[in-house]
Amino acid sequence: MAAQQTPGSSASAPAPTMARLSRLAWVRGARVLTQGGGATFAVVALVLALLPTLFDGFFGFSAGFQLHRITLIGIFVIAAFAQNILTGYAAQASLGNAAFFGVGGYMLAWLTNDLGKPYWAGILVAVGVAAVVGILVGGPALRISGAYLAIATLGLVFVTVSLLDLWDTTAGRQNYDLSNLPALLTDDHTLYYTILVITVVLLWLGRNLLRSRVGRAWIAIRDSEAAAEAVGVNLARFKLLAFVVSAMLTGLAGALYATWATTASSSMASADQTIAFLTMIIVGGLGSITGSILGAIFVGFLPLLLGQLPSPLTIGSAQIQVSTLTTGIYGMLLLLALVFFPSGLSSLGGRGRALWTRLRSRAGGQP
Amino acid sequence: MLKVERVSTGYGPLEVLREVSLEARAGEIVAVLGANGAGKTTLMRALTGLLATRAGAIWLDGQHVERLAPERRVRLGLALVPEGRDLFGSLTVRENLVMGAFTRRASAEIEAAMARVLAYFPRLKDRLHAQAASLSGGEGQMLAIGRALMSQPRALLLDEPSQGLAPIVVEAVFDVLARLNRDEGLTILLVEQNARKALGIAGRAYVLQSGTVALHGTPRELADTATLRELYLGG
Repeated sequence: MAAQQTPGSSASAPAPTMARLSRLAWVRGARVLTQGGGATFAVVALVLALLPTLFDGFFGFSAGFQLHRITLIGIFVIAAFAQNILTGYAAQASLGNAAFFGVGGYMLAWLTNDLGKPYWAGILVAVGVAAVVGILVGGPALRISGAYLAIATLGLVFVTVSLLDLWDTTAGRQNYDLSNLPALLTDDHTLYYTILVITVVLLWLGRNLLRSRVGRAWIAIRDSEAAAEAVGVNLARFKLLAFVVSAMLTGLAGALYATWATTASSSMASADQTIAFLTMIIVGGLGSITGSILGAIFVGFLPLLLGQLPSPLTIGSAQIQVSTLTTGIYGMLLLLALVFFPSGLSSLGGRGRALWTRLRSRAGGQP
Repeated sequence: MLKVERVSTGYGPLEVLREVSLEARAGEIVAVLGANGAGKTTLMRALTGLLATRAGAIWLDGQHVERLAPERRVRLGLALVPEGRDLFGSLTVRENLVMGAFTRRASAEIEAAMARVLAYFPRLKDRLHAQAASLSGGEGQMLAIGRALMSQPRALLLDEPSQGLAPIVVEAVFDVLARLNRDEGLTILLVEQNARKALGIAGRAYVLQSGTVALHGTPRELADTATLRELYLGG
C-alpha cells in the first residue's frame, strides 16, 4: 500500500516531554530498532555472527556448552515476540501461549520420532497444528476480553499440560526425547547459526507485518476498539488472526526448544512457562520489537545467573533449591516492572535521550 | 438518505432508545439535541452498528442496514466521528487517516481521499508524522473528522464534535462541516449538547429526551418552543 508510512520517519519530531514519552511508549520501542541507525545494527550483527568464535577464545573447552545455553535466548526471542504481537499489539491478554509452545515441541517429537518424518516437515506440521490450536482458542476468545480472557486462556494451559502428561504416562515415558534429529542440529555451532537466522528472519517478517494494514489494524484495536470497529475493522477477523500468528510463532519456538533440549516435556506447556513469556514482554516493553528482544535476553539470562549460585542455597537454617526460585523472581519482576516501569526496558533509550536533551539545554542556559 | 424508523435498543435490561424515528435527507444537516443520558451516543452506536438494534429499522439510501456489521455500513457510505474523538493515539496522523480508509484497498484512491481531507484541514498537513496522542484538542477533532472522511462517506455522523473544545476551535470545526455540506453535498447528522451551535448550522433538528424524540422541526420553530429554551438555551 503506497499510503503506508514507516514509523521511523517521525524521528524528526521535536523532542517530546517526559510525560508524553511515557504515554507514547507503546510504539516507540519498535522505533529504537530502526532509529539506532546502521552503525548499531552492524555492530550487533557482527557480534552475533562472531559469537561462536569469541566464545571459543573466551571459554575454551566449555565454549560449546556456553554457546548452547546462549542459543536458547534466540528461541525465547521468537516466543516473546509472539506473545507481544498478541498482547502488546493486538491487546489480547492471553496467558495461553505456553500451550502453543508445548504443542509445537510435542508435535515435532511425535512426527520425527514415532512417525519418522523428516525434520523440516515435522517443523512445518508442528507450526500448522499450533495454528489450529490458535484458532480453537482464539474463536471463543473473541467473545471475552480483559481479565476473563486471561483466565480462560490460562485454563487452556492447564488442559494442555494435563493432556501432554497423560500422553507421556500412557506412553510410559518421563520426557518425549527427540532421538531422530538431523546430525547438523546436534552441533552447537550449527544450531546457534540456524536459530539465529530463523530468529532474525522472523523478526524482519514480523516487523513488516506490523507495519502493514494488518499491523495497523491490531494497533488500532489496542488504541480504541470502538473506533477501530467504526472505521470498518472486522474485530473478530483481526483478533483471530493475531491468535493464529502468535500460536504459529510460539509453536515454532516450542519445536525449536525441543530441538535445542533434544527432548519435550509437559512443563513446556506449564503456567510457569506462560509467566516467563509474560515477564519477557512486560519487562522488555509491550508493543515493541526491541522490547521482545531485550525481555527475552533478560529472562533468558536469569536462570544462567542463578545457576552461578551454589545450590542448594543455605540461608540461616533454610536450604533453598535455586531452580525453584526462578518463577518467584519472574513474578517479582512482573510486579516491579508493572508498578515502576510500565513501558519496559525498551523505553530506556528514549528516556535517556530525553534526559540528556533536558540536561544539555539546562546547562546551556536555554529556555 | 438516512432514515431511522421506530428504533429501540439498550444495554442489558436497560432500554435507552424507545421507538426513535428520525431522518436526514440527502444534503441536509440535521442536529440531534439532548441532555446527558438522553440516548444521543446510543443512537450513534446503533446507527453505525456498534450496538445492535432490538426493534425498528435503519435505512441508508433505501437499503435496510440495521442487521449489517459496522464494516458493511462503512462500505455503504456511513462514517462516524466518535464521541471524545477516540483517535488511535499511538499511530501517526497519517496512519490514522489511512486507517479511516480501512475499507478501501486501492492506494491511489486512499491518496486522493487524503489530499481532499488535507485540503479541508491544512493544519494536519504539518503534523502528518506526529503521534495522534500529541495533538491538541482542536487538531484531534480535525483528525477525527478527517479520519471519518477518508472512507468517502455520503452520510457523516458526528457525536458531540464541540465537546471539550475552545469556542474559537468549535467555530472552525463547524465552519468546515458547513463547507463540506455546501461544497460536496455531504449529509450530516450531528449529535450535540451545544444546542445553540448545532442549531446554527442545522436545517432541521430533533430533541431527544429520555430515549424518545420529544420535539422536531427547523431551528426557528424549535427556538420558539418554550421547552427547548428552558432546557438548552438558558431561558
